[in-house]
Order: sequence, then structure tokens, then C-alpha cells
Amino acid sequence: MLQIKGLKHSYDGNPPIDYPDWDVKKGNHAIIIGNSGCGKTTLLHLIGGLMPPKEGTLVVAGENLAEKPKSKLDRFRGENIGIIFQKPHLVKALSVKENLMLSQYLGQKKTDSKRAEEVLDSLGIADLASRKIHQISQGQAQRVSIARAVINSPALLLADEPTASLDDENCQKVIDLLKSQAEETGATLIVATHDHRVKSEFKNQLTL
Amino acid sequence: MNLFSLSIKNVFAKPLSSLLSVLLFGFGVAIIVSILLTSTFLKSEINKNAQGIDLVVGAKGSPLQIILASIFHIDFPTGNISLEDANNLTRNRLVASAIPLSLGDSYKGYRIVGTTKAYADLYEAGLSEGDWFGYEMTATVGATVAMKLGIKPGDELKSAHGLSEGAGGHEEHPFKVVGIMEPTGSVVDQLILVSVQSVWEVHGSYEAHDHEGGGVHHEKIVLDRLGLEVTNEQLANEDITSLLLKYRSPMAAVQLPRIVNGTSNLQAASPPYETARLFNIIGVGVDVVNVLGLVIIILSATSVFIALINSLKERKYELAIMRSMGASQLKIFLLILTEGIVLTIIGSLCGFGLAHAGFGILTNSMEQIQTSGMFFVTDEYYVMLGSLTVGIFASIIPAFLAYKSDISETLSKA
Repeated sequence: MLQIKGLKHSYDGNPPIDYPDWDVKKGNHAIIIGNSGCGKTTLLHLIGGLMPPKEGTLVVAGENLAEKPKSKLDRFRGENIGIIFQKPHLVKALSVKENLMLSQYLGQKKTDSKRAEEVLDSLGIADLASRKIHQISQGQAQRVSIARAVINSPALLLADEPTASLDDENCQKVIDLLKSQAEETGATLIVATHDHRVKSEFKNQLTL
Repeated sequence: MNLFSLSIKNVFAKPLSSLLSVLLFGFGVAIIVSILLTSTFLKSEINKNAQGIDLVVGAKGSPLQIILASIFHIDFPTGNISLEDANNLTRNRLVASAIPLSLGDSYKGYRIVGTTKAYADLYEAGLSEGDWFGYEMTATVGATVAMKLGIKPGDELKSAHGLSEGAGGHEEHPFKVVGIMEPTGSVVDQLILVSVQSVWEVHGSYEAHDHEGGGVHHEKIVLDRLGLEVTNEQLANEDITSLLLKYRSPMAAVQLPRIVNGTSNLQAASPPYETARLFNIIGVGVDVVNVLGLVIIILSATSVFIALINSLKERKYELAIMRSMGASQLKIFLLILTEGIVLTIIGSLCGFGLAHAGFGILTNSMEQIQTSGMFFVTDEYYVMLGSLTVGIFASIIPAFLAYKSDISETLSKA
């Protein structure tokens, strides 16, 4: 599912970051762990195709992203990757369900209201479907953002610091939720975090 | 869910700032469209009423006033001219035809015009009921007058001396209504047509000589160019108000006004020249208001621009996440552009609605004008196109900024 070899990335004027080689097999959940500022988010963005790698090979779902033209990356993201960001950033003009359907539309899938309801149901928030974004709580918004990431059944599910601001109990809940959602949709889950509470949950670990 | 419905939802998600942009845009467009409507309508109205009239001859005075009084029936006549002068003029070979007008009386605010059948023919007026007026104190009433005052054939009208309501009466000489005209959409609808002779009779002279006098020396002469039959005495003594002339050849346009103005009591007025002069006078005001409309539209374009830039700042994460979900740069560009265009289209539709509603209300309240808010002119397409262009210009920079923004950079700062 994921292969990294000799991957380097540098921001203008900064020394380049060398990433160690890494393999993640299909359906094999993994974690990228390291302190703030070590390049976790950057690696996650590279894997997610949010920016093109500058050097090395990065194969995601059978495609080398280093060779993919920028214009094709958008479509690749929409079809293969679901990302859960630190903050949900849902589209405020839309309802919860419409946010999920927006993901279907942008991922070039058929907009399917039933599928959106199913996903909300599996996350236990079916009753929020018609609420506006400002009418739901932070925790609920995070669940919606998980739903939004999994609705298109992506091959790869990425999560950036999903537990950073949660207490122990909720931290465990979110990790369980991410795992169960990944398994339901047959996705490979990769979590980037500095949260050591999460570490024991994953066998495949990449420490930066 | 598609791009268009998403932009509509984004526009409605910020009702206040959208309302401001829509209001500004609407007012700007409404001002420009109103001016367009009224000036086009006025011009077409003037052309319609001045059709077939090459020259108006009245008593010495302001030529514009002669035109306003004799063609549009909205000002007071400059005075009277003698029938003899008028008749002599019509015998000039440059004159193709002439219609005499005797103005000055009214009935409940509607003007009574002493003329000949040729005047009704000029506006292609037909009868919806009854007959045309004759010499004997009979009247044919315009469609609007008949409708507003509920006049039927057989009614008697007691005319008033003067052109305003409540002027002193001619109680003892009522007109008998013999016919009602069909609506023509021209000024005739607002008039009560009678014969020139009836007007003389109301004012006292004709009756005494024709009805009571009798005898051999009251033989009638036919003034064929004027379409009148009069006695020698009438020819010598009576007056009319003005003459509507038609030229025989283009040469007449050069020579005839000079001949008329050379006659001591007569004044020539050319309808196209005078109306052009009138529009020149009004034109300055029209320009000022048009500039005002444009300034408001530019302000509103700025407000659309600022609204979009602000919402971009607020929504930059949203937009970046939409990109991460697979939206291309072009899609984001089109989304923002559509939002701006939606705002300006809603604004300009409001403006068009407002202008047409206002025009409808205004013209409905004026009895002399017959049209509705559904009066459209082709130039409105240009206003529509223009406002669309303004909308595109106001949103193209914000759309481009959204297009350029780096998703990874935006999201790593979230």
C-alpha cells in the first residue's frame, strides 16, 4: 500500500529532511510518531499527495507520486485517500450530511444520501445529519470529519494528530473508531502523532 | 451537490454581507435601467405622436411651446392665428396637406380639440362606437377619456374655457357625444375631438351668423387644403390655434419655415428639431443620474470584492480541505467566481425588478401615459451583460487567490 525509499523534502531555506525507508502493507495499520516539528505532518501531506515529493520514491496505492503530474494528484487524492486533520474544518454553509456529500462530489463519486446516512449511523451520529455545523460540538465535529474521510471508501486513511486535545477516555474511543472505520471500508490507516498514549495500539511504527 | 448549489449555499450562509452587495448592485442597476426605460419610452412616445407632422405653425412665441401644445397637448398654446393667414399659407405649393387645430377648451381636465377628421386619420384612430363628429356641436371622444369619465354616445359635455380643471364654463353650449374612438396608444386617446366650427360656436360667433342669419350672402367657400367649409365672413374674422403641415417635397423643409416666420403673426416649429432641443436640455440631467448609477455599481463591485476576500480569509481551511478531498484548482477558482457572479446576478435581477416596478407605478399614476412595467428595451441586454462583466471583474482576483493558495502550507498552519 505504501512504500517510501530515499524520500527527502525541504522547505525553502531550511535543511532537507531525510525520511527513513518504510513499508506499510495493505490493511496493516501504522503510526508515525515523533515530537512537534520533526516533519510528521509534512510526511503525512506527502503521502496524502497534498504536495509533490522533491526526491526519492513514494509509492501509494501502486502509484509513484513523485512521477505524477500535479494536475493528476487532485483526482488521485479524491479517489484513494481520506484525510482527518487536527481540526475538523467542516464547510460552515452546509449541513452535516451535505458536508459528507460534498466529499462524494469532490471525490468524483456519485452523491448518495443513503450512503452518507449509513456512515453517520456507523459513527453513532445519525441524528446530526441535518444540523448546521455551528450547531454541533467539537467532539461531534471530529466524528463528522472522520465520516467525511471514510465516505468514499479510500484505500488509505490518514489522520493527523487526531487525539492531541483529548482526555484518555476519549483518546481511546477515537482510536477505536478510526480502526473500526478503516476495517469497515477496507482502508489502510496511518496515524501521525506525538501522543505516546496511542503508541501501543500500533505494531508498525515509524519514529522520526 | 454541485459547484453551483455550493456557491449558492455559501452566498446565503452570509446573509448580511450578501444583502449589502445585492442592495448596492440592485440600486445601481435600477437607476440605470429606469433612466433607460423612461428616456426610450419618452422618445418612442414623442416619435409616435409627431409621426406624419413635418411642421407646426402657430402664433408667434416659443416654438417648443407650440410643439408641446399642438402635438403633445401638454402646454398652453402661444395664441391664435387668423384663419385667413392659415388658409393663405396652405395654398403654398410646398404644402402637401394641413390640419387645423382649435385649442383652449377642456372637459374635466381633458382637452377639447377643434379640428377635422384628418386629425383622427393622422393617428389612424378608428371608431369603437357611434360616429365621427360633425359641424353641429357633436364630439367624438378618445378611448381613455371615455373610459375614465364613463362617457357614452348620447351624453352631453359642458365644456370649460381653459385647459385646467374647474375653469369657467360654456354652460349654454354643450357638446353631444356621437362616437367613441378605439384606443390608439397615442395622444388622441386623451382628447375630445370636435369640429372647428363647433369651437367657434361655443365662443359665440358662428351661431349668430349661421343659424339665425340665413340669406344669400352666407354662401359657403370650401378651403380644400384645410378640409373646412366656411362663409366669407368666417374666413375674414375667425381664428384657429395652429396648423399641422405635411411637406410636399424635402425642399419645403428649407423654404417653408422661412416663409412662415416671415409672415408677421406666424411662427413655424419643427417637431424633430424642437424635441431634439428638449432632449438636449434634459440630457445633462440624464447624464448626471447615469453617472450616479455607475458610481453605485462600482461601489457595489468593490463590496462584492471585499466580501469575497473576507470570506476567503475565513474559509481558507475549508477551501484547502476541499482541495484535499479531490477538488482541482480550477474547481476552487470557479467556485469563488460563481459566488461573485451569483451575487451580481441576484443584485441586477433585483435592480431590473425594481426599475420595472417603479416605471410601472409611475406610468400608471400618470393618466396621459399608457404603458406598463412590462415595457422592455433592447438596451437592457447591454446592462445585463455589463453587470455580469462587473461581477466577473469583482470576483476574478479573489478567485485567483483561492486558485493559487498552497493546500499543504495552509493546512500545516491550521
